[in-house]
Amino acid sequence: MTIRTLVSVVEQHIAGLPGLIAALVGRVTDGVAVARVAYTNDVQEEISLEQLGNYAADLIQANNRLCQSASPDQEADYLLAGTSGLRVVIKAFPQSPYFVLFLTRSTTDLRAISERVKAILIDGKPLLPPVQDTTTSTAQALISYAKRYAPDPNFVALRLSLKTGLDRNRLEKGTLSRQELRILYKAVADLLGRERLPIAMPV
Amino acid sequence: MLEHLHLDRERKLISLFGEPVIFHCHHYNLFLQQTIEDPDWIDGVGILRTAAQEIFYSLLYGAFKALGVQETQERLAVAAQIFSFLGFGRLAFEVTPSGGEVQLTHSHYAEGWLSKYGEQVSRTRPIDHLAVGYVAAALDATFGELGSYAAEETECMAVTRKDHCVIQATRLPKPQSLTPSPGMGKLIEQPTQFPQPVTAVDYDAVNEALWGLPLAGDERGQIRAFNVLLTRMPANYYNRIQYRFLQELKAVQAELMGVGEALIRESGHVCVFYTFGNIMESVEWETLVGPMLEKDTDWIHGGYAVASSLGWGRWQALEVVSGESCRVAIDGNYEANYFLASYPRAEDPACYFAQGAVPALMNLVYSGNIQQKPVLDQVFYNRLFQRGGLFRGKETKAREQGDPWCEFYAARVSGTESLRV
Repeated sequence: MTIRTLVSVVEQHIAGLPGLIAALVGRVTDGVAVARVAYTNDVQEEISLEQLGNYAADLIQANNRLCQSASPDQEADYLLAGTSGLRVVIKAFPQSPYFVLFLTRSTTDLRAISERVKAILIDGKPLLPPVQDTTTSTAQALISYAKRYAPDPNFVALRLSLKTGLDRNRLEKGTLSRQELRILYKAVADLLGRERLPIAMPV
Repeated sequence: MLEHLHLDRERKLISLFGEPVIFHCHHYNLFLQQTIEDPDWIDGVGILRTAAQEIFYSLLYGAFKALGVQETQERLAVAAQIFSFLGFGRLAFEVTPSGGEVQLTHSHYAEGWLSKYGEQVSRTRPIDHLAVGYVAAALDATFGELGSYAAEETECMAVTRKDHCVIQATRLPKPQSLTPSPGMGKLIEQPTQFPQPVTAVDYDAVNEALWGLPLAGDERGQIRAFNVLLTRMPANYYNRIQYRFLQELKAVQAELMGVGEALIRESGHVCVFYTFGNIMESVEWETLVGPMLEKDTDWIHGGYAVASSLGWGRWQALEVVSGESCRVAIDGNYEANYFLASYPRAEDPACYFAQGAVPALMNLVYSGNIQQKPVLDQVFYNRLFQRGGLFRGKETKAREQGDPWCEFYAARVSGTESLRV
């Protein structure tokens, strides 16, 4: 008997799609890929794919905020980006902090992409990892956001530990009280020189 | 001002009016400063300003005495001249004995910050803590005594993105009690005779050539060399800020000492990576050190020959195993000279800059392949860390703990492993 995984679902539905470079299922809170199939062995391209996941997560969050300002139950639909040679298609799983991303050549048929994305959304949904506790995931999302956008990303965790006065291990595990979460939010905003961050704090 | 530099060839130290001065770049200065100003729960900015006021007061007091300058305007002109000579920018004093306004242009910290982080981050707080302390020190030395003045940066170009900063100075009703610099600190009596290193690099020849370079602030008060903004900083400013900062951490939240130490070490890593990386890609390196480079290990020796030309003391690689490890001695390191003059014997090795610098040079040569002249930018630096398997270092002998010299060992370790010496 074959055990179905998210990767096998992705593999099943991308088979035979011309011009596909990579497909991934990522997490909106931090951009991390939970399943990925890429037709590349190049380290640079691997890093670019990671950045693409981060970019998609930011884009979905920004679009969701815009949609929700119109109506609280609205979510972002298909998001498209790319260059003259490449195309990125992103679609979030409904009512879930996960998304599907396809990176293809710009010649790839959009309808074919759309059908395969829909199939992954349907077959992949039961296989998505469980959503973490809100406080934990917010803390991790804040740290992950800082690592993406602050200078010297390799030392962001140390800097945040020093700025907040909180132990580095606790910060990285994300097990913080509401008060500590507010301190962390302020520290990340300060590190980036921003008043607000695109990460919602738990109510 | 170059003529006033005093060179101690034996100890490989450089001083200006009795204060040890050393070269460091804007990458190091910014990283170290940010580490100290980051925690809101201690007065990091106060540590930076006060240290600048104390150390520069000693330097300016020495300068006015040595140059015999008595008149107010003459003293302020010398203070501005020294500030520019050291690479911090240009100061224009509009002051009286009660205080006044000082305009700062081409600020090392502000322009350095804008060039390094300006496109990525917005800054909301002033950055010129050193200049603020310097202005207070200049007025102290001109009109009063140490601690007579306080200063504040009211406009900072790193925040406003204009072309200048403004610092306001006021005379205090009563001088605050501050501690002057320990000057050259506790020097080594005699240089230690280390075994002759196995290398084609002639350390003394590199020293002499680099000591001859006229590295001084230009008309903007900046030292632009080797693709970085250099400063000829009083060593005791770095020493004072790093040790006071760690003392504060220990007093307020001792469990975060390790984080503070790690970040100070990292500033040393950043410094060597950018400054030495750029030096090793320069024409000067090619001309001067290039002909001595026969093996890859010579690049490490060449690096230490350069290090001991910067006023940091006598740095020498004792043993370099290609791609694997190195053992480095520092005889009369500037950190230990200060430490021993200011504190009792250290409980733990305390030459933090060197602890970061030694593995950094191995990373530059054996992880960053500097021989291939990569583009030394933040992306390259970040990737180096993401790849893992970097060199880490340890201070294995510490003069500040009673050893005759300081010694460091660096080797490649995996992410979870700790360094075995």
